[in-house]
Amino acid sequence: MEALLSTQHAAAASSPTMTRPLPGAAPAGRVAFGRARRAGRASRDAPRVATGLGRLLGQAAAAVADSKQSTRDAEDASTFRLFVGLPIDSVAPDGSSVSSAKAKGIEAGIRAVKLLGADGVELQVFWSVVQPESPDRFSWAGYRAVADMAAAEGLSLRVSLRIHGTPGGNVPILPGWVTAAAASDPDILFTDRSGSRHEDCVSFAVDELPVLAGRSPLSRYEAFFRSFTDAFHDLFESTITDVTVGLGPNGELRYPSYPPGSSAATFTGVGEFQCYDKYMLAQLKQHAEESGHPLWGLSGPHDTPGYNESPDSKDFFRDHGGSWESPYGDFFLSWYAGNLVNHGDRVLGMASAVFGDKPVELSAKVPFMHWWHGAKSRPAEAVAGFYKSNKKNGYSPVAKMFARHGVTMVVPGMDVCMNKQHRSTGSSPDQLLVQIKNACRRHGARIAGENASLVMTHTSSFSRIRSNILTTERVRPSHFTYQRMGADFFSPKHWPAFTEFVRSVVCGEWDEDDADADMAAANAAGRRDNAWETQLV
Amino acid sequence: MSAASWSIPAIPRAAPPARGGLPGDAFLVAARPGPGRRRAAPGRRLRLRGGGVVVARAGAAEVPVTHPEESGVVFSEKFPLRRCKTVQGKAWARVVAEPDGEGMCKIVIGCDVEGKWVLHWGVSYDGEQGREWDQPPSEVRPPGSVTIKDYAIETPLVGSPNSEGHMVHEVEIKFNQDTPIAIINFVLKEEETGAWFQHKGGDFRIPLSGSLEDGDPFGAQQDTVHPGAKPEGSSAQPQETVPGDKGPSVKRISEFYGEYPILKSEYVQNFVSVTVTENSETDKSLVEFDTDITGQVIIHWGVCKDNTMTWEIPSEPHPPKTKIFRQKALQTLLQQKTDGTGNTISFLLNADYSGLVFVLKLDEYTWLRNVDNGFDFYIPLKEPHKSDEQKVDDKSAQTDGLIGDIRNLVVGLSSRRGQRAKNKVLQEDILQEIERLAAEAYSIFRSPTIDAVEDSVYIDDPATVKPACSGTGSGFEILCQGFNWESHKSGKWYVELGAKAKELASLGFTIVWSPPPTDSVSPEGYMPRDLYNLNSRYGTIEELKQLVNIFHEAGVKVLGDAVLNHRCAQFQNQNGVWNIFGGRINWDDRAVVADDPHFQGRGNKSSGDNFHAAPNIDHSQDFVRNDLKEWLCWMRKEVGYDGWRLDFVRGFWGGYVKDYLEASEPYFAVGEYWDSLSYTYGEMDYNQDAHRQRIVDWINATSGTAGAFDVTTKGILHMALERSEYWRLSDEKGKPPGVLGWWPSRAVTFIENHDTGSTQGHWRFPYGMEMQGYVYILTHPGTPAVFYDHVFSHLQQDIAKLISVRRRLKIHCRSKVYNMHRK
Repeated sequence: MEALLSTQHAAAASSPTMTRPLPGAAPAGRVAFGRARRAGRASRDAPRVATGLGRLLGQAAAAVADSKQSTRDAEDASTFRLFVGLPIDSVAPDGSSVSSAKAKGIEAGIRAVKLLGADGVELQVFWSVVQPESPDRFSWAGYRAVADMAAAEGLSLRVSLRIHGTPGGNVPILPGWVTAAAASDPDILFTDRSGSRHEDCVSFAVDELPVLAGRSPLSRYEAFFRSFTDAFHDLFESTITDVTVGLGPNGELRYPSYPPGSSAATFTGVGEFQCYDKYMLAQLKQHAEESGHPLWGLSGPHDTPGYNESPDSKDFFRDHGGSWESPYGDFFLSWYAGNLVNHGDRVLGMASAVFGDKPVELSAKVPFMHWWHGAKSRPAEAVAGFYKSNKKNGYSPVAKMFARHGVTMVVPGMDVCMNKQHRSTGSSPDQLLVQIKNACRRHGARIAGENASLVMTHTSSFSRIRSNILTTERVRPSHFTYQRMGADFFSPKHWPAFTEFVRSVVCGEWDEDDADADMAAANAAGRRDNAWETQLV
Repeated sequence: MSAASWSIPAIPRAAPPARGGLPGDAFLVAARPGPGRRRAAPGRRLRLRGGGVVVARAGAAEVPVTHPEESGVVFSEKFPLRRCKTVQGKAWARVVAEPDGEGMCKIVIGCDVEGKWVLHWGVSYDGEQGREWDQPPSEVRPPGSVTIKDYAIETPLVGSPNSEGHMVHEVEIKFNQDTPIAIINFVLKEEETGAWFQHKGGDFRIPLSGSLEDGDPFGAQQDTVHPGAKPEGSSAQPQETVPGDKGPSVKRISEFYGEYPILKSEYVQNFVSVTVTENSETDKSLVEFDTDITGQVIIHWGVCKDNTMTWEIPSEPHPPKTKIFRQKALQTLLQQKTDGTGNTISFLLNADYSGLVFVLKLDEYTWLRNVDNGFDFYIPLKEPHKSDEQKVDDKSAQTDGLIGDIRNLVVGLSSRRGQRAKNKVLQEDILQEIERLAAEAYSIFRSPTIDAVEDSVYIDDPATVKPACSGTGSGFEILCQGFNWESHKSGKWYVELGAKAKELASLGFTIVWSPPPTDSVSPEGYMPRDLYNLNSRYGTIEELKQLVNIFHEAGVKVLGDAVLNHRCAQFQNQNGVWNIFGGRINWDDRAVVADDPHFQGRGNKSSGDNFHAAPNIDHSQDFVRNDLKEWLCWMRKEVGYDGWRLDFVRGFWGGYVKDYLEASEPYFAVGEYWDSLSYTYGEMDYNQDAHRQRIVDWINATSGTAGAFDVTTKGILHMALERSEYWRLSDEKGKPPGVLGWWPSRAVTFIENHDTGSTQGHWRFPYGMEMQGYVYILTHPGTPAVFYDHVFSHLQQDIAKLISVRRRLKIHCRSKVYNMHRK
């Protein structure tokens, strides 16, 4: 049909989703996703004002599809939504206003992705920005302004409530008063074996202890969430469709197993256990005593490798005969992972209560620990807190907990390709994704997707994302958020490829259209060249 | 278009236009809507005024006039048009080495593109550092030259027909064969458009003797002020020839010819006016187009119904000379006016269309759109009904035109599939809008995001102050440069400076930097000869000792200016090359680095950059270092110097400096590591990390035994103050952007010295901004250095106040800086 855009036309040659299907063998992605989207959109949006190129074309396609009396659509009414992440530092560090240098850029960016056909934008809302100075004062004006921009464009908004910090993200890592509390009791922060503290992350062990100005972190989180629902109550019906609950560092349910101060997003070493603050150690001790092995609770394992060492360099994670396989290893890892699940359980339970009556899809993020996936002990997963006894799927307990709360699991790694990773780290993104999907399928948790990083160098990552989100598998992402707007995002190196990606996702395929599609494309290309010159005027 | 890639008309001292900075073709959206991103919704903004219908077009140049009672004019408007004319040509530079009748050589710089050309130029003298320009000597200035500031002149090019009858613009600069000028630097300026033509974003540099590659003292330099400014590079200069041999030490003017493509573009203003007259008898509308563009003009047009902006082809008959363009538009050739002033056409249209949309086409590559909104022109053909107006108002209040267009298109699609092809124009508009928005977002996000920065200094607990060392002194030092470029002239500077010792001490200075003391070829002292002869143009060794004593009595330490990089010889070797030294350190050519052909050294290769005016000392050899250590220790003891200011430390490895400092045990030492900051297209980069990294690397090589002048901070202050670009004052991590932000205790901050300012003015601090500069460096960590000329000027009182504030608050070289972002 409207394959009239030159880039689209160019894409037609390369993209498999653009090719004409063989008779009787329709490409899987096309049928399942394309129809679902069209049908869903058409029915859902009928009363809504359709806007944007993608919507426009998608609807047109829907009309076409309807007219062809496709029978397969009816059962699969779930809609897929595409979000684009807003800059992480959209709001001034004190939360009072939109970052003034960026406001116009954010506005233009929101509009651009809107016209492109994205369904919504994702906004990271930081605890540290909303309550910078005092536990009693909330400063929502900045985030409100950004949300209003999205609302004005008729976009959906996925809000990520972030409790823990992002080192290097140009955002304060924790509220000042939390940092002050940590200064008087450093043990409320995650601590590694050498005693280094994670200044961006409050230990899960103190969730229910009154360490933050007389109240527990959990109740502070709850106050933060409740204040959010109050401040944005009017947007829940119209704009805010998703709330993602931050469960740990980088917004993910995990231990900060990376070196303190480094970025969780870029660290690809094995990592270390983070159980050396006194509260964690006390819990470990108690747990060991209850299990009848008091000696196992005196400290963490002594023979683990350092952050960047090979898992083979010390005994604990060795493939053969490593202590992880011993009863002690299982004891420790089960406790360590169980603590993580318990933390997630607590926070999600609280969040479910807070957002239970709101028409939003609740989700939470897990880490995509694809490094050292080849090692039997899955060391990177284990130190991040993903472990299940007897070499079973480490994501399984987490998926079970997510399913219990009806929370969607956001998997951030839909773009990670095998070829991007160094073999030496034993990375296996494909297997990990299968593993996560298996866990979710078994326990009935929904998934959603994100990309790990901006697709700058390997445009093949875009096709990977596409195949991951346009899959016919039962476990299919309900939404995907592309991270994230910024200078690189809009740079000529990235934007054209992204545009093409979005169009191929939101518009589905054109192949079923009229015979003169090629000609139309040719026309478009011709006219586009002319238009091009016009622009130079 | 290859020519365009380098000849982007860069406008110095102004941000490059957004599109200029966008590589690739993705964002070349030039036809931008008017301010406020307003996209006129054609035919939507309707108002009733005085009974007649006025179709107000947002941003249109002229208020449309209607004459409902006269002749049924429905619409009449004159639209401005803007088109870009590009002229391609070349510029050239030719050095004629053969002297003419008067014994003068000449350089001819010319260009064959029409315009009012001005040569903006300066020179570099032999053996000079840096890429700063100097003003050419008056005897070489062609008539009609105008002085621009103190470093350049502008000379108009004179147009004359060449042998083929084309107009060429040229200027001749005549100079003597033995001119001290090494390089002519220039850019071309076109007066009428104000456009500047640079060479790969930098200056054109024409060497008068030989090529720059072996003669350029800065060939080894990694970063120059104008990256890539050297006219070398085979691909870019296919026609450049540099013949001429070159003796090792005798300078000769070489023939040179270089040709450079030039692309000049200018905007031309035209108009098209459209008048629609209702003809009630025939129920048709008479549409008239009129434009002042001469040559072939085609209107590419269609009609639409119901305000949808959906292009349709009107029913026949079509006007004469009309072609149907791909079933979606008509292309009608306008008729030339008989008087040759433009083109016009008029034709009748059925009245059942609501509007006419068009763009103008001049040739395959030139389409003219609505300047106002960057899209199509829209001409309403009939009076809108009131109900329409009401409806439209609701919509426009809700959203802007584009969204409405899309909505209409969706309706159109679902109801009339057959018309899809006609919607392509609109879809392209959407895509263009997307690209434009992306370009806008890109330009905003990629620029630094600091809004306003106010620095305040946090005062350390004195307990954290570290013990004194030669890199920092006590940590609370405030330095005064005790001389300027003219100080040697009196012959008794030491006496004069000594008389000011008490005053300097009372102002709060703790260290004074005294001029280079040795016997020197140049009067300023930076071309040392006999190192142990401390009688110089500044005074005798006795006066120097006296000066040091006076300062010590006043409680002020004294730095000696030690020139270790190079040393002038006293004797010639058997080849007549000056490389045999005299005096107590009577080295021969073995002490001279091997990689400077001028001085035929037999030492090792230099461990740093070469200073080309004198033999560079080979510090890698033990005997050289031992002699220099001995000399430094002798000066410490004999003169009483407390420390060193080390000249041109770029010339040798910092590790040797460490050696010297450990031997001479100074109280304080600071090195001059001066190279150019990073610039892109003449615009100083925000991120100067590479520049400060080089300085920090040097300090590191000295193991922190010496500080270094914070050239980075000076450069950034220039831009920040001169252009109020205060966002430059915070780096990406919110720290100060100079050496100050990375290694404050070793940063010796300054805003001016004898080279940058004084009577040399190689890199003068923005005029009138000196106090702001001092406010910055005196309230920040690092060790501030104040220039003599400023201390003894009207600024003295203010400087004294700042120093007293600094001392009162106990700000020291390691104080912490907090960036307060102020709303």
